[in-house]
Amino acid sequence: MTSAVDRLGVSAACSCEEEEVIARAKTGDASAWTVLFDCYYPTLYRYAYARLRLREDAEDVASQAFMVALRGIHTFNYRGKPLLAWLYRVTRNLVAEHLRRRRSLGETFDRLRAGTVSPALAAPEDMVDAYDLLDAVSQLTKDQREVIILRFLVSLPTKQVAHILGKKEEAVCSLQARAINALRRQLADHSPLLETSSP
Amino acid sequence: MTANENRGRFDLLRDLLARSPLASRQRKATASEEDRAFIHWLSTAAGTVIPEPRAESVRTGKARLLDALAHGEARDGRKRLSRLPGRGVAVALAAVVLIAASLTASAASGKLDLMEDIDEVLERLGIDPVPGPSSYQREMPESDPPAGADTRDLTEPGSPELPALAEDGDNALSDQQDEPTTLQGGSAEEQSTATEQIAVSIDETGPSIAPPRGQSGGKPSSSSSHPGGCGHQNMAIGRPETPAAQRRLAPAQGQTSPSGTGNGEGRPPAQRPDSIGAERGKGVPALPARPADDRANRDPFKRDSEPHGTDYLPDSEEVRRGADAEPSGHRGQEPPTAEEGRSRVLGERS
Repeated sequence: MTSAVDRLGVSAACSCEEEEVIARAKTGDASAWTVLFDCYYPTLYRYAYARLRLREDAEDVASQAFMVALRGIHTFNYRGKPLLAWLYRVTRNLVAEHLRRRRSLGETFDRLRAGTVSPALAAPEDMVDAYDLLDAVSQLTKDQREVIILRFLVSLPTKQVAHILGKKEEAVCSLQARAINALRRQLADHSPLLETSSP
Repeated sequence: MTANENRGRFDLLRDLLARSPLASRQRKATASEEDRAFIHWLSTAAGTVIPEPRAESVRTGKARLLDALAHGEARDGRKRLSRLPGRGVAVALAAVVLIAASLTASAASGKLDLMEDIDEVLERLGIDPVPGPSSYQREMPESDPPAGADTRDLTEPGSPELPALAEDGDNALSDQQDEPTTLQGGSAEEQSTATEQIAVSIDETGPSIAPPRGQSGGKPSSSSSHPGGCGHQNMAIGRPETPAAQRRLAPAQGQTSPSGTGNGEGRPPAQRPDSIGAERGKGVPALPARPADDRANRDPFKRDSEPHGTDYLPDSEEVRRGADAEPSGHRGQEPPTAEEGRSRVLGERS
């Protein structure tokens, strides 16, 4: 399984030269920011979508994360940790703020379902699977949810997930194993519903 | 060895093998296969769950980022964020300082004390001050004035009648004020009554306008001023409404009051003459009303040069009483003696 960066056709070398790119970005180099945007926008977007489940909101949050990063890049000191870990925290905070606002507005689940419709989900059973998968992921604990999203929905390797979450790789593997068991139980409980709801 | 014994040994061996580490690894491998299958399904489903971002929104996001970068937010963003609250605090502090300065200036100029003094004087005179921002700004209650009382409202703030009223009173009394102002006219009882009224109205007002007690209470200007705190009853109880009126009413420096009642302390209270008369029951003579058309056409800011108002003097008794109550003076010259003024008025009337 390839990483999200590789799958989206963005040069994987951006992570190798990340320190240099960050240094140029601090000076206001537009090309450096273009590289960072192309590298990390899809990753941030996928994470935001897994949490918000609306394409427009996820796109807004991903763009907003780069605006926040632009204003706060001076506070980032490269110490071997990838910039994605910092961008992930920025995006996670923005998502939490968006969810709070959404809760205050009383957004209904129907709108979420309507917003989840994707051209890639042509088959109804796939759509149902997708809904149930996201529902099951949202019912996990916070750490398990983050691991599942970053490992399988954003398609990041275990080492990078450990960096982003600030945990050891063993801890990430343990969280992943427990999360998978919980997901299997939840999806098994939903399977009768899937059979009745699908045409 | 029997067959049963062989079967028992076989079961025992099978149990031992089932508990062996090798069997445990095999079971884990089986579970791992299930997990791998689920993970594979999960990865596949995740790939279809999340749609790709729209190219348009990606371009828009990048354009916003580069536009913000071109406007220097990367370098100045930190400063701007820290500077904005500072500006708000500075503006708020400046507003507070301005408000405090204006309040201090108002207190220094005596406006605030003036309001309080008015209420205090009204209360001492037995008049209920209407609760509100200030009794200074309220209208006097409508009531039937006694016969011969002046019905003009002197308490209306900013009233255009005020300067005219001052001149009106001065016109009505100009001849009286030119005449002697000592308490010579009238009977002893009338003199004492007028003096008492004046003393009450003067003593209960503040010393902000009139000169200190016993010094002077004369009129500061030659044509349209009134003694600060004593004199004609209408003017004595009239209160200066505007700073200009206050200046007019203030006595000139070095001016002396020929009147013995001219203690000159405090402002006249805001009270109509009829109400004072009714309150104290002593029948203070009121200023006769002028014709409405004349009052309306008169320029309140024009100083009348020609003496008039003699037609408002009903009789010599009125003149004497007004003169008794009106200590007046002239700026820069010694006031005429009572005898001179009296003879002058009587001569003009004749």
